[in-house]
Amino acid sequence: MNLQAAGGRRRTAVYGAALVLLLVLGGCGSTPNYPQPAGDNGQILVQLNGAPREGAPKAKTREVRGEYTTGRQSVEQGKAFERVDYNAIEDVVVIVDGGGPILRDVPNLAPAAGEITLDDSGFNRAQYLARSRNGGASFTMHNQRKQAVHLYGFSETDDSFEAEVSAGALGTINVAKAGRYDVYCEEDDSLHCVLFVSDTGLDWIGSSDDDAFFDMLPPGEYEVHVYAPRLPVWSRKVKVPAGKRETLTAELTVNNLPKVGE
Amino acid sequence: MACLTAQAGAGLIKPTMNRLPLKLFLLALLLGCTAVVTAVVKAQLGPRHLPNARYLKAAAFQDGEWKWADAQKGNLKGTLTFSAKRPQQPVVVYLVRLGDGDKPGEQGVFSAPATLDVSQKGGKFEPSFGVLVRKQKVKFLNDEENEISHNVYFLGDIEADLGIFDQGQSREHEFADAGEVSVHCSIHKRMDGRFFIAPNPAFAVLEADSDSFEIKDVPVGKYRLHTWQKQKRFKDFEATVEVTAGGTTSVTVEMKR
Repeated sequence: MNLQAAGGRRRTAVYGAALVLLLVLGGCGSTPNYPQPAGDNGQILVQLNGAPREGAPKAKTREVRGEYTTGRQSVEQGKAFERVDYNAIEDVVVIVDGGGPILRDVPNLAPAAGEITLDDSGFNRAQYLARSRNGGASFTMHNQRKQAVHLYGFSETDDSFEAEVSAGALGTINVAKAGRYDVYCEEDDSLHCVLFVSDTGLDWIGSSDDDAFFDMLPPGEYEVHVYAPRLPVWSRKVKVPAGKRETLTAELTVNNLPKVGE
Repeated sequence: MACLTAQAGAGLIKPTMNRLPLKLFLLALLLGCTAVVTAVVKAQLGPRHLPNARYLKAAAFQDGEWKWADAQKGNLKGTLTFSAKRPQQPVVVYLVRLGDGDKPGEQGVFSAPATLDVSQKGGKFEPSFGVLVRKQKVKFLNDEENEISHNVYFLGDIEADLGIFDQGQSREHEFADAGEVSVHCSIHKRMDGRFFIAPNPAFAVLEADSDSFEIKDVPVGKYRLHTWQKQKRFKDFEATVEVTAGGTTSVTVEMKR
């Protein structure tokens, strides 16, 4: 038997297996299959890419001796030191603006916002989204606390709302105009969340490990805004041609902020 | 014959085995050279240029030549009225000195107050709220008891990243302009704070139990009075006021929806 030939075949087999493995892994991590644009309609796919700050170190560990065992545990103990998970940033809101009034007729593409729940640990989300109907929107709030709460919200354009929800009850928060509202609570000044009321017809809320996909768009110019809690707003203008899909990657990170202290 | 082939095969493989350490040596040499070249280039370029903070909606105020210390002064006092329940949160009343055409003018040269020290012990900013004046410094100290690193960045009217600093280290920042900033740590999800930076020293902070204020020793001139609320519940109020030498100007600040 020729050893050189045998070695060559083995190498070929190894490379082949590696290629197959790469293809399988690549396939697992690739973009889900979205429908192709129909007719003259266009699409926008916003891929959300969360990234921790460059140079952020992992938590240090220290040795902990038990009665029978010895192990290591993080020095960052407790709720105060909970770390941001940049692989799955929750409650990211994407709002697409532009395209003209025809967008109001586009069917509901985004998942509806879930109800607001308030319990002793706070609001269940950092951000909520509702689509405007006839100019305004309503949120249903479940107050799981043992006391009534008074919520008030103000937008950047000075629109406001107030609502009181009894202890253990479901209440309705009516917001008269579209906008981004900072919401506070009279009884607990540590509470804060943001309500988005979108009137563009193109909106989405979800986690950064998912994509925001907008279909059936008339060709034209659009502006995409991505709002992630505690991160800079990401905005881009995009021209959507007829029958094409425009794919954008929204960077959810602080890495693009001006660095002034290093 | 098979033995001869095996020997020949072994002979063919042997030189490859001998080349491995040589390859490793060349790789190490290449990495070493790269490190040296990088170090030389860095040394030639000098320290990295540091960009300024990004001032978005923050107003860009000019100081001018005149000095607060030398100016004639008067006082301003006022009362806040609320069209609904007053928020149990601080309200800031501040003045912007007006120039030609009643537009924001030169704010004057003044001494910035002492640096505001902010602790980060226990994974929280303390204080987590503050009202500062333009040109005042804030110093973030990582005074954790354990080896925990923190980061500080600003969002809002002023955007900047002060970097990552380890236990025992600190970072200072001077706010060049006025505005509202939220302060966060990119590592820990619950480390948040908020600052308001006033354009000049003529401001008053009304705590939750107070509806009246007095701002003393304001240089004589025309000003635009503004309000800022830590947790906004009313439309912010604006009015033009005139401060006269030795006099006390009164104003009613109406907070409405």
